[in-house]
Amino acid sequence: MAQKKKPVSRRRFLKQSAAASTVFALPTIIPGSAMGADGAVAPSERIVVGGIGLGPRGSYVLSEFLKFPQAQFVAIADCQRSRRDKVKGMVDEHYKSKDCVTYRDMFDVLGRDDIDAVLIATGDRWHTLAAITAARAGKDIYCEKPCSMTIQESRALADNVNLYGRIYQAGTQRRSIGNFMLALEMAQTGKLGKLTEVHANTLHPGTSAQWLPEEPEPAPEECDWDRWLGPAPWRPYNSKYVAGRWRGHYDFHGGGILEWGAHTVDLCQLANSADDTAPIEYVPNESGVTCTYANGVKLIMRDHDWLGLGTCSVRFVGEDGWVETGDSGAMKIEPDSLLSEKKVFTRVGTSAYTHVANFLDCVRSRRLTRANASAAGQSHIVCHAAYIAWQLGRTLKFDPVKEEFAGDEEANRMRSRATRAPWTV
Amino acid sequence: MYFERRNRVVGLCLLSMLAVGTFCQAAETEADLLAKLKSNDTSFRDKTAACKRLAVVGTEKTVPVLAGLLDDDKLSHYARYGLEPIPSDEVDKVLLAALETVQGRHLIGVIQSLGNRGKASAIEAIAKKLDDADREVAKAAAHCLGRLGTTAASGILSKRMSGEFAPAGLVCAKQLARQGQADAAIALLLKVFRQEDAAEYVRLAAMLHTTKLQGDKGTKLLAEALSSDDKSLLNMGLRTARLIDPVAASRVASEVLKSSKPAKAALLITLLGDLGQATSLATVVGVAQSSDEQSRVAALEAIASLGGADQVALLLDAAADKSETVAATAMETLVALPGDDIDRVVLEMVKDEQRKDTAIQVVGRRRITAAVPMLVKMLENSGDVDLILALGETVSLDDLDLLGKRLGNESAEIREAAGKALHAACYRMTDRAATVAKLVSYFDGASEETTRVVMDELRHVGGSEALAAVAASASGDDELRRDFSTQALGQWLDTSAAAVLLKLAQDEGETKYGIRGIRGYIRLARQFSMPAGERVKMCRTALKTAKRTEDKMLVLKVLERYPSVGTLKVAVEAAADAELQKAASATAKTVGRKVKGHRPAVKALLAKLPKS
Repeated sequence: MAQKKKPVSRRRFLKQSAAASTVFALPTIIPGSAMGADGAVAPSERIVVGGIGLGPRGSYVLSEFLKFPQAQFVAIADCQRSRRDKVKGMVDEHYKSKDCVTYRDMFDVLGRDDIDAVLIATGDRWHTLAAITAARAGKDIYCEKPCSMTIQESRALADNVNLYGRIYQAGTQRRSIGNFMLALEMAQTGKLGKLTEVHANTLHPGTSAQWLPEEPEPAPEECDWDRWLGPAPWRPYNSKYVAGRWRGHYDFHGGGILEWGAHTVDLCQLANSADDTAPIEYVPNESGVTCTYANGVKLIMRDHDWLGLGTCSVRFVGEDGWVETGDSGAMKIEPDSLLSEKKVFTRVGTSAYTHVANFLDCVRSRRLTRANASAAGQSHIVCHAAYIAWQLGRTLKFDPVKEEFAGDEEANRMRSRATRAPWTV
Repeated sequence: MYFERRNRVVGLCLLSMLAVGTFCQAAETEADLLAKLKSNDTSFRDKTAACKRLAVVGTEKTVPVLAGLLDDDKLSHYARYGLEPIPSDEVDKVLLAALETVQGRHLIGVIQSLGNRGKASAIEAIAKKLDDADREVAKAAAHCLGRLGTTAASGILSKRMSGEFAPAGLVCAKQLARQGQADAAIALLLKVFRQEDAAEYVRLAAMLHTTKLQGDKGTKLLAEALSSDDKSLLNMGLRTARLIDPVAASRVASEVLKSSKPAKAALLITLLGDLGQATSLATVVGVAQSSDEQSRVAALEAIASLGGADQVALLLDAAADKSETVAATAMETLVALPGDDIDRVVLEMVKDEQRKDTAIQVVGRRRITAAVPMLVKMLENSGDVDLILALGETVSLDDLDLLGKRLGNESAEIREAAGKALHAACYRMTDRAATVAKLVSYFDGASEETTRVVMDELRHVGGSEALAAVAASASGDDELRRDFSTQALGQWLDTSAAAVLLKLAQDEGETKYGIRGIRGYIRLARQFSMPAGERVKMCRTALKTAKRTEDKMLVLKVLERYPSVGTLKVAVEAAADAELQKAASATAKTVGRKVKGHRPAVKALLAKLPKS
């Protein structure tokens, strides 16, 4: 597929970014005229938010939502009582009220007409299905990464969000963090010369097929095991799963490529202006996969030989130089002649603040978010395709338009997994 | 080579019952898997694994075996998991047959599987389920028809349209549109849109896609939505407008804007900006000068997409507005506007007494280097902070001294600004050696504050010259420089400082500088990427060099963080030290547990630990 686009100018990049988000501006400005006399947000400006499945990560993102006066968090649905109670405590403490409503069933949140948007931070197995269900209920969605478990889910996510005209932000907040944005700008605007390689820091791809020993199921009011499993295949209960040790299990987790690739492969896609396509070849190695785009750019997923600039590092390489950056905020740029591009950033680590701001702005304006469902779905397809190649241990050719592997039936069969009824894409 | 290695890993996985993804099960043939499924001796767990593996390797031989499980309470889903991807018509046949035999959730699952397989031949059978007493089954059937998305499916859904089936109509219309059947899609969408008992958001989604597909005809519907005071309808209009022809959408939005109240006007202005039509500029500029703050902010932002040099003066005035929101928005637009002509106008504005201060800020933000001579000249007569900060973003190495010499200014405000500006300038200097030489020259007669700032700047610049300069200070006679340089070394930004830190630790022993040396050395081993052997070597060296137990304990933590046979060896060696025996033994055991593979070597090393 011919996909090479003209490099964008730096100013055009800034313009697009400014249009797409406020990351170059003050995050989510509420004009004074939108505030009431007491400084409260006028009802017409308020975005009423509910939560679905908020554990430690979800609570962190919620804390970022609570910093915005225009977002009013009103309800939490979680199949674990301890978690919903904890979120209620946090929200009530914030608002100095007792108004946050708790539900066991997410449909109780989705059925509320007053709720505009939902924050989803369940385990990975639920992300697509919960987001699709929310879209079908007319809600806007901020959903933690990874966004999907399979290629099929990735496509279905984008299709459903777009079908219902909803606003969706994937929790891939590095798209909204300064050092990563500058690296992207350098790649996209031709500062590095013609792009040749993009490198994504991924983890070891493997997952486990083991089951933890069976334990007696708790009462559904305490932890609804069937609902916790959701679309994933049934297996016996073990308390460690619901406490967070579902990671690494094939049925619940997409493996190490997806775990960090949801961020880093996603950034590489953007660096290569490839938000709407995917590499056409995947060559696995011991701990990662090397992919090639139709425009010749290599996407290298690897877990080693990074410069130590922090977790989730990326490196963009062009004919005239390269840039590497990671979660420390530090950047390494070669050659020195490119140092003139550097900017001083206030270190924000992996803060989701500006990403949440972008989401809330888009809920109001109905613009596409920086990590919208189409872009996020596409980068997840890349991660899934790479993991399939790694599992099969052979080179795969992929058609990004048809979203199928060429001449490899086994690989094609691994593009989807039947979901447990009644959950469906 | 890698595959050979991995096959050995796979073997190990099987032996240790640690399966990695689906790969480790690859050795089992279809026949093996089917035998497992048929056997009464196979555990439930193994049967589920067999079903999942058959999803990848199953053939028509698999189909009847899995079909027999579709009604099995525990294995029904696993049976579908195995069946769904098998590319044989036999699968469709058994799924269709199961429509008549399975119930409840299992039936919903079978319907879903038929939807996933996408065979139009299923339509007739699926349609019969629209009347199922279990309405969840009926809705699943409707959704399945929508996904199959043929004219026949559309006809059925159209006839049976209801609030319950409206979402399926939406799905079906989208499928039709994808196949190029726009008229059929529009007909179905209008049916959904007019379905009054359908959920509002479903009807609005139908409106969105109708408008999108109708082209010019759809703009009437769009105007209606954008004019509405209903939040949901307006929202859908705003989303729709971004999906259709931008010329038509801009025309509609501009028209609606004329009679809109401020809150909505702001949204429409944002929309006009996003649509990027030059014809909207005059409207947007007009609003940017209005009194309503909300609309004004939206307009100032929209100018980033629509405006040009002619709007620079307006933006500069707005960037000095008493409203922080207005000012910040205008400033961001000034930074984002593309084109050298913007730079030229900004430069002109620097000469305008009324706009000078804001224009200088913009010079810095846009990095307009052509402004430097003018700024330098202005600096001769003024100690303005904004001027210094703008120079930080624009000066070349030749003018770096302008900032350096202000590090010792008597005004704290100027000193602070000079420090920030120097940092911004050094950050982007391309000749590191020359930058370091400049920075080092600022040490002469420097105050404590300046020494600290310059030393930290050397750390940020990095590279061999900066390291040499800081190392020289660390071993020099100037106590102040020794203090700040050892601090800087302790926070060096790459591993190149390892040798300097080690020497500092060796030479200075238990003095504060020696302690900084060993701690900085350990930090490098802990924090930075390096070959595994190099890290092991650093840890061993650190244990030998460290004088204090607390520092040695830090090394043990590094060993735990990077488990390998190499780090295990170091931990076992450390356990021979009586002082560290207990802690190092614990570390060795932790590392031993974490090391993947190499069990005989790990066992042998752990056996060397002293008996407690």
